[in-house]
Amino acid sequence: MMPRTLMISLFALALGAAPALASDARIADAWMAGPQRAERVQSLVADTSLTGADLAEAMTSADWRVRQQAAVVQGWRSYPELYADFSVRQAAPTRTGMLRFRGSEIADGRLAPLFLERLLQEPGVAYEQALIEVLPRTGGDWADAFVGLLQTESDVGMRAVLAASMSDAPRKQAVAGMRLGLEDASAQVRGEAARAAGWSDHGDQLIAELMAALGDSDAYVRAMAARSLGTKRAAVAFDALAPLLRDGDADVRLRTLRSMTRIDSEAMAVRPELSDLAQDPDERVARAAQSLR
Amino acid sequence: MARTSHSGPSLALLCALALPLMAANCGKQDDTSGETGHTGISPSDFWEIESFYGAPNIDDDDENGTVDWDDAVATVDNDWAELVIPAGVGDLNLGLTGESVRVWFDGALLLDATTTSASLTGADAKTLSIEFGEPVAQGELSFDGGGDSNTIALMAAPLTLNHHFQVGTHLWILSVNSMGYSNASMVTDLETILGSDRVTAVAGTGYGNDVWVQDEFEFGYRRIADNDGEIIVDSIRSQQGRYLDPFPEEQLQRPDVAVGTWGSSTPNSLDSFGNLETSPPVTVDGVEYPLGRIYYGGDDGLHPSVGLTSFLQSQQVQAPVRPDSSWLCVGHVDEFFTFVPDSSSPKGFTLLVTDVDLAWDLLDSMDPSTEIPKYTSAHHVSTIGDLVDDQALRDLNDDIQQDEIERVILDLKAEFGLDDSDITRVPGIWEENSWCRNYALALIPGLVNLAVFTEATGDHKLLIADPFLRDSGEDQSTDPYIALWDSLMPPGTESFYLDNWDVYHEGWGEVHCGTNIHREVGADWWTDATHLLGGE
Repeated sequence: MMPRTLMISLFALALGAAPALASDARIADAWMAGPQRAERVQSLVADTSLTGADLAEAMTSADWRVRQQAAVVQGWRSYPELYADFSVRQAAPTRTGMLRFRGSEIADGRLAPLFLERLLQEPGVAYEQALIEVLPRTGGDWADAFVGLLQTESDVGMRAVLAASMSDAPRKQAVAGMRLGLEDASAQVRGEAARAAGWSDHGDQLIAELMAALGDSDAYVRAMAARSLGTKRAAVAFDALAPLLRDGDADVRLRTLRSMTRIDSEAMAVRPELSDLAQDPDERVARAAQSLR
Repeated sequence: MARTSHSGPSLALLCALALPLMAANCGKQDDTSGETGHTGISPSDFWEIESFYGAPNIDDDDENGTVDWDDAVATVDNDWAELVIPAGVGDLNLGLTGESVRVWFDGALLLDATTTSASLTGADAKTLSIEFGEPVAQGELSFDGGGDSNTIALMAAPLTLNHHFQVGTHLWILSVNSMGYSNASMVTDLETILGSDRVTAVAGTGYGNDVWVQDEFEFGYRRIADNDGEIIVDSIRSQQGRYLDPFPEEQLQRPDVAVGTWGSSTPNSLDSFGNLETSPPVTVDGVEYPLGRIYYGGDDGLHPSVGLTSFLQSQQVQAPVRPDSSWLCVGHVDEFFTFVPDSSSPKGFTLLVTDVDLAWDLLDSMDPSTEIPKYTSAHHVSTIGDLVDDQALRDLNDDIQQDEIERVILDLKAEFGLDDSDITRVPGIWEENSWCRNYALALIPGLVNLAVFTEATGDHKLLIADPFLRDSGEDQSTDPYIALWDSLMPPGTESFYLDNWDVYHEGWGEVHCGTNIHREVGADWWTDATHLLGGE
C-alpha cells in the first residue's frame, strides 16, 4: 500500500491550489505550483522509495489529480526518452496563428500524462490551449482532468476549449463536462458545450439541457443548441425549436430551420413560418427555406 | 490652334497613339541623349498627346534603405519616364497638378506638388523626366506656348497581381526540420519536379518556422512598356519583425523590386495572402479583364484591412471581388476554390470548387474497414467507417455545401462570368476544431488548395497535397482519392502529390499556403486594359 504521506503529497502536488487538507504539514510542504511542479515531479521520479506498486495503487485513485501525478512519474520512469523529447516539444503556429502540436507521434496515449503535466505547469493561455487541444488526440486518459479543470479554471477561453473537447470524452466525463459547460457563467463556454453535444456520441444524454439552452440570452448558444438537437434527431425538441424560426439572429433561424428539417422534414415543410423565411433578409436562410417549399 | 485634352473615359483614346512615342522610353534613361528614339515626334504630335504613363518609383535602386521617391533627389533613375518636347515647339509655360507626381528637367526639380508652374525657353528639344510616387498616382501636366496649349493626363502604372497561368520562374518555401516537424521530403519533391535551380528553401529557423510563405506576401508588377518593375506586396499579418515579416525585404527586395505594405489595422487571419488571389483573364457581361480579377474572402463583419482592399480597388484594372470565406476557421479563399488551366475549355480554364457530395460518394464506395492512420492523430478517426458513420459530420458538411459553398458558387458565376461548364467540382469534407468554434477546416487535405506552376512550354504542373486516404505503406497509386482527382483534372495539367501532412495540413493549410511562386509578366495593361481605367 502506498504510504499515506506519499498519497497526500501526490494529491497536493497536483492540486495547484490550496489543498483540502491544509492542516496537514506534509501537504503544506509539498504544495507548489508552476515551474516548481516540474522539480517536484523529477524528485519523485528519482525517489527510489516510491515503488512501482505505490504508483500503480495511486493510479487507481478516484481523484484524477492523484492518478495524474502517479502516471507522469511512472511515464518518466518507463519512457524516459519519449518523455524527454515531448517535454520540450513545441507547438507551432497554425495558419491562423494559434499554436498546435502536430505529427503522427501525437497519437500515443502514453503522452497524455506528460501533456497534462505541461498544461498544469506552463504559463501562457495560448500554449495552454494548445495543450488542451492536443490531449484528446493522444488517445490517453485526459477526460477526468478536463472535467476537474472546468470547475477550477478561471480563464474563459480555456474553459471554452475544455468544454469543446468534451465531445471526444467517454460517456461519464462527456456528460459531466458538457453539463458543466452548459451551466457556465460565460456564454462562450455554454456555446461550446452546446456545440460539443452535437458531436459527442453521448449528446443524447443532454437533450433536456440543450432544450433549455434554446432560451439562452446569447445567440451563439441558441444556435449551437438548435443545431445539436437536430444532429441528435431529438423529436421531443421539435415544438420547442419552432419559436426560434423567428429569432432575431439569422444564424439561429438557419440552424433551427436545418435542425427541424432533420428531425421531421415533412412537418417542417408545412410550417407556416416557411413563407416568411423564404423571404428572409439573410440569403442563407431564404435559400434554405425556398428549397423546402 | 488650341487643343484641350481630357481625363477620364477619353484618356484611353490617344493612349495607343502616345505610347509608341512616349512610353517606349520608360526606364530608358540612357536613351535621352540621343534623338533616335524620338524620331517622328513632331510639334504637332506633341500637342496631340492626351495621356502619359510611367512606373511608380517606389523601389530602392540605390539600396540606401529609402524608397527612391522619398529620396527626392535628381539621381538618374530607371523608373523616371521621359516625355520629349520636340525641337521647334519653342518657349513654354508649364503647370502641374497632382500630389504624387514630380517633373525633373536638366538634373533639377522643375515641378512638384508645391512648385506647380514653371517656364522653359528655347526651340531645342527638351526631355522632361516624370516621376510618380505611388501606383496609379495621377496628375495633369499643362503646356502653353506659341498659341497652342495642351493638358496631358499623367498616370502611374497600377499594381497588378499575378494569376496562376503566368509562367512560373521560381518557387519559394521555408525549410523546417526541428522539434519533430520536417518538410524535407516535400522540398526534395519540389526540387525534383521543378528543378533545384527553380526552388529556394529558406531556413525556417530565421523566421520562427513560420511556414506560411503564401500568406506573407504577394508577387506583382508596376509595369509600363519595357519597364518590368516588380512590387512585392507585404501583408500586415506579421509585424515588427516577427516570424516572416522581414522575409520580403531580406530575401526578395533589390533594385527594381519594390516592397510595399498597404493596410494598417490590427491584422486578422483574412489579412493573409492565401486570402488574396487573382483569376485568369475573364470576360464578365461583355467586359474583358485581361489581367484577371483579384479576389479576397470575407464578409461585412470580417474582412481584410480596408486600407488594402481600398488600395486594390483603386488600381482598377483587376477589379476585386469578395466571395464569402467567413465561414472558414482560417478564412482564406484558397481553401475551397481555385482556377486551373484547361486546354479543352474555350475560356482556357476551369474553376475547381470543393464539393462534399462527391467526397461522400467516394468515401461511401470504400471499404469502411479501410484504415487511414494518417488521420488518427490529426482528426480522431482511424477508418473510413469512422467518417461515413459520423452523422454530425455529415450534417455539418451538408450545411456547409448548401449554406456556404453553393452560395459562393453563385457569386463566382456572376463575378467571373462563369456557367456550370466552367466549374469542376472536386471532393472535400470539412470538420470543426475545439479551437475554432463552428468554423470549418479541411478534414481530408484540401487538394483544391494547390499551387500552379506554369511552364514556358505551356504545360501546367499542379502541386497538390497528398490526401493519404489509404493505409500506411500503401503508395499513391492505391489511393482512390488520387485516382478520382486524376480523372477530374483537365488536359494540359499534371498533378504532383506532396506529403504536406505534418507541417501544413495539421497546421490548417496545404501546399499553396506554404509556397509562393514568382512569375513572368502578364498582359500589357496599357494596351489591353485601359478600358477599365476611370471606372473606379
